[in-house]
Amino acid sequence: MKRRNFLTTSLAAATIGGLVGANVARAQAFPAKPIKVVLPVAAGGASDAIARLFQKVISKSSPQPLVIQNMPGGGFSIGGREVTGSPPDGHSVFMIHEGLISADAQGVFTPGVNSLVAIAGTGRDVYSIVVSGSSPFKTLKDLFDAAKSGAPIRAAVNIGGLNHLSSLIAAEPAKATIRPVQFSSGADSLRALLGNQIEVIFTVASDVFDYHKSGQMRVIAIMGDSRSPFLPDVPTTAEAGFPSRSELNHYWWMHKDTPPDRIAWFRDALGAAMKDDEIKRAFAARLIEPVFTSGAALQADIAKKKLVLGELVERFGLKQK
Amino acid sequence: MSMKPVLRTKGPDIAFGIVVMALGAVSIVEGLSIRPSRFDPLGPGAVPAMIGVALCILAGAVLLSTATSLRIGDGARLFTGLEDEAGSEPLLWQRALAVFVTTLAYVAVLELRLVGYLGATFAYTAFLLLVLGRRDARGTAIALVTAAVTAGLLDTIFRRLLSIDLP
Amino acid sequence: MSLAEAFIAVLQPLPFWVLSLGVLLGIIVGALPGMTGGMLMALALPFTYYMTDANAITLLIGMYVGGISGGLITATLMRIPGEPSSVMTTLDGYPLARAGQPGRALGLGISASVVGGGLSWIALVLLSPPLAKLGLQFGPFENFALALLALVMISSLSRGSFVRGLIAGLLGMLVGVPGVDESSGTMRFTFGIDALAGGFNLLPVILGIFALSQVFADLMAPDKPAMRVAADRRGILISLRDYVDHGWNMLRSGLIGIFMGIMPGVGASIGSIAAYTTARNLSKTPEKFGKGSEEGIVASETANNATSGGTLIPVITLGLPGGFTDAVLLAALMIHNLQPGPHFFANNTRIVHTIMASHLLAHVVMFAIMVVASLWIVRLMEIPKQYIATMVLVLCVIGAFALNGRLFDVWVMLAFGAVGLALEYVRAPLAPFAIGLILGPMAEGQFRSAMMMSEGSLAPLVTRPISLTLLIATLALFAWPFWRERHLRRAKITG
Repeated sequence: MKRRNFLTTSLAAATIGGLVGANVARAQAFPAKPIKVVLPVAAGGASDAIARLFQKVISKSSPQPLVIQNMPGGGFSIGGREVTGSPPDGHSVFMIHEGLISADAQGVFTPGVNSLVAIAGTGRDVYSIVVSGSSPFKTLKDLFDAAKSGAPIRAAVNIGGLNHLSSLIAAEPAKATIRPVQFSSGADSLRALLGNQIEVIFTVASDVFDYHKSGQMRVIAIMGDSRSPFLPDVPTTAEAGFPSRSELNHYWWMHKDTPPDRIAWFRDALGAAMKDDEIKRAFAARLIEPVFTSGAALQADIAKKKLVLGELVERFGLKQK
Repeated sequence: MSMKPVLRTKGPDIAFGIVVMALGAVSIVEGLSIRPSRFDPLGPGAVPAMIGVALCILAGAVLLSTATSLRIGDGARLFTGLEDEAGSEPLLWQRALAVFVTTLAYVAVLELRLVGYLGATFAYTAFLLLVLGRRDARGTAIALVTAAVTAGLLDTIFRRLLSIDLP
Repeated sequence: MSLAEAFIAVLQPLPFWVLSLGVLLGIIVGALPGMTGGMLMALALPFTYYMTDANAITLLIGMYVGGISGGLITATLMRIPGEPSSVMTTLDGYPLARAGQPGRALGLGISASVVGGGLSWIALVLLSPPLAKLGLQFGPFENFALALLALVMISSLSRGSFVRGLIAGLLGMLVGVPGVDESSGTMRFTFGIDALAGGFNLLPVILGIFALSQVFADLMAPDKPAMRVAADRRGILISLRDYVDHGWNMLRSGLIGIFMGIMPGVGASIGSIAAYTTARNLSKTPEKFGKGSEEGIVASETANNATSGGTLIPVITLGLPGGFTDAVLLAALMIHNLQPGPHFFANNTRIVHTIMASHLLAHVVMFAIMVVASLWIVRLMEIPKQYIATMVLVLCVIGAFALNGRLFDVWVMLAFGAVGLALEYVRAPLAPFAIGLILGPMAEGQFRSAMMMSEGSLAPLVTRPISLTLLIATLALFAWPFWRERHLRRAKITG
């Protein structure tokens, strides 16, 4: 008899509490509870650091805090499913770069990128082609010549990831073969290059700037339209004779059925944060272009990326059936 | 400490052998059905298939040794545990099973979001403490207080302090 | 800022309080099953935003050290590992405690932890550059050979149940298969279950196999009268003589731990397994292992604390994280607008020296806390079974959930609780399962990367010097138990 009382009491308490809570939430404006930012990468990476900076800045002025949830795995699917499976009320946000689009094109991102809508892009990074400081290759031409003559030119990449795609895109104009070797994280790739396990890596400039300055690594080309202001001596791939482009943008997504006003709220919060001194300093320190895209321009950008990446995945045979 | 040879495990040993063999077989089939990769010579299916083969062989060894009572690489265990006092008293497996089932129910309640974490944990903790312990007045009181404090503390720490989305 | 100045800075009231808080929380979380020190660090990250960068580091390192050390408490007193790295401590700590010497068991573990931390601190301060360079020489071939060496330890740890040990190891490896295969981007063994796309997470499986199965095993065992533990701290502070007796073990295990710490992705769990196995192989009384061998406790605990310093070496020399905990540390720095990298650490000795000072002081604080609280801690053994069982279950449920915010992980944990029980019932040892689980995916990944590097050739395995050395060591380790048993048997016959 005693046991039944407890269960009943706790059930009743929970129900009443739940009803009261729900009513309060409906009456209040958005956001009514902490906003969950899902990162489909492990804590401690570059994307993670950027997300946490925004978390810090936005939480300062928002009525509810932002909460970061790291859910790595499954080609971003685990994290993605968390967002697509949550109610589309604006309280769940997904933060991941265009690797998501590529993973979707490969068939690995199981929720499907079309179940999400991009709400903003904060920051653009450009891929660079990097060799070891002691490498014999001083220019991109050196690298491709060696590759074409049959010498093993291996790149430390995450198979299926953006750096792998970058390596394929870069080698195409030269019709050279750069052999991919799997290294799962950016840190592993850097380590592999420092240890001369492989010949070249493809990564964003901020990862290697320090090593380039200290001579441990050498950036031989930038896969962008113009030279990086921080590496003025490094030519673009076009200037080096083998034009190719690859960039990494930090995108924020929400469930596609989220009400537009809530999307606007978060988008505006991000836009305001971009003007914050702390964010500006962080972007400058990390050599990230403080670009903020939203609205029609963003949707056009995403649509174009879906086409381009989809075509690349098809052409390079990266589709997983 | 005397370790009586545990003869009663013939049935479980056979079951173990069969299960492992089945897992091995599934691994082989599943592994071989994965398309080879263009990037490395081994491919994604090779290692699971090899594990499967090894498991099947070893399971065969277990079955063989059980069936023929030949000791093939068998003997004492490393992890001291269940059989410290082998055979001296019967194991209270019903109690463990009851707790296991209760735990399953608890997680199911959380999964189905019938009651919040606070309520479910309180109910679960109180239930277990009462079922497993003394049900006199003092024991009951301690159990309830412990359950309330535990549920409250965990809910506060995780939901409020750490902002984790509890069911 | 010099190292001495950094020490003084950390000893100021606020930083020291922050350090002590971190260590205390780390010890508590490390002891409690369900959550690990690493998770605590990640959860604490948002709170570090508002601290100075030095205090953020101090807090996180305190948590890290506390976490690794705290695991030995429940491992020794309840045979429930609070952290994956304490699994080996359960094998000998618990039997010794049960035999009536819980104080000594704890004392050995605590002292071993401090020595391990101290040894790794020396390596951190004096030998970081050369050790880091050595670490860079380890490419996929070397890492594979190392993983092979560690996997072969399965044979050492399942002597007597060789076949079942091997099965357990292979089953562990199998559990690591489902999910995305990184080397090809292909989804494997998910059988259409979405939630398996990320594979089985390590923590829920370890919690299930070791903690839950232990709880259910305890529930099945008939009730004994509550153990009256001598409520004195006898043995907590081990004597100088003990330090001498166990000196070689501590030194060797410490070196193994430091080395394993430097290797990326390997971590404290493998360090303690490697040290334990080595201690057993080299011990004059190997039959005592698993029954309360002091050497076993010392080996396991020295090594897992030694990895704490080892893992910081690549961080301060290269700016590269070796594992999850490093990554969290670097994330904290990045949030404070410090961009880690070799350049940065060379020019920001303040941060480097703060890391070093915090690391050593954290061990001192840990020692003080654990020794002072030992009287109370030892009483844990007297708590009635139903409270321990219930608390462990509740903590494991929320811990498994908090990892990723998914109830799926909780279901996985429960399932593996049943698996752990089943394995125990058919006398399959669990430690090899853990080895297979932790090392299997790494061994496979490294091997396939190696094959990509060499275009399918196995030659580099024997032509690269480090790899060759490790392979020879692997063969030796594999053959050792058999050779030794034959040698002993022959000695008995002729002797």
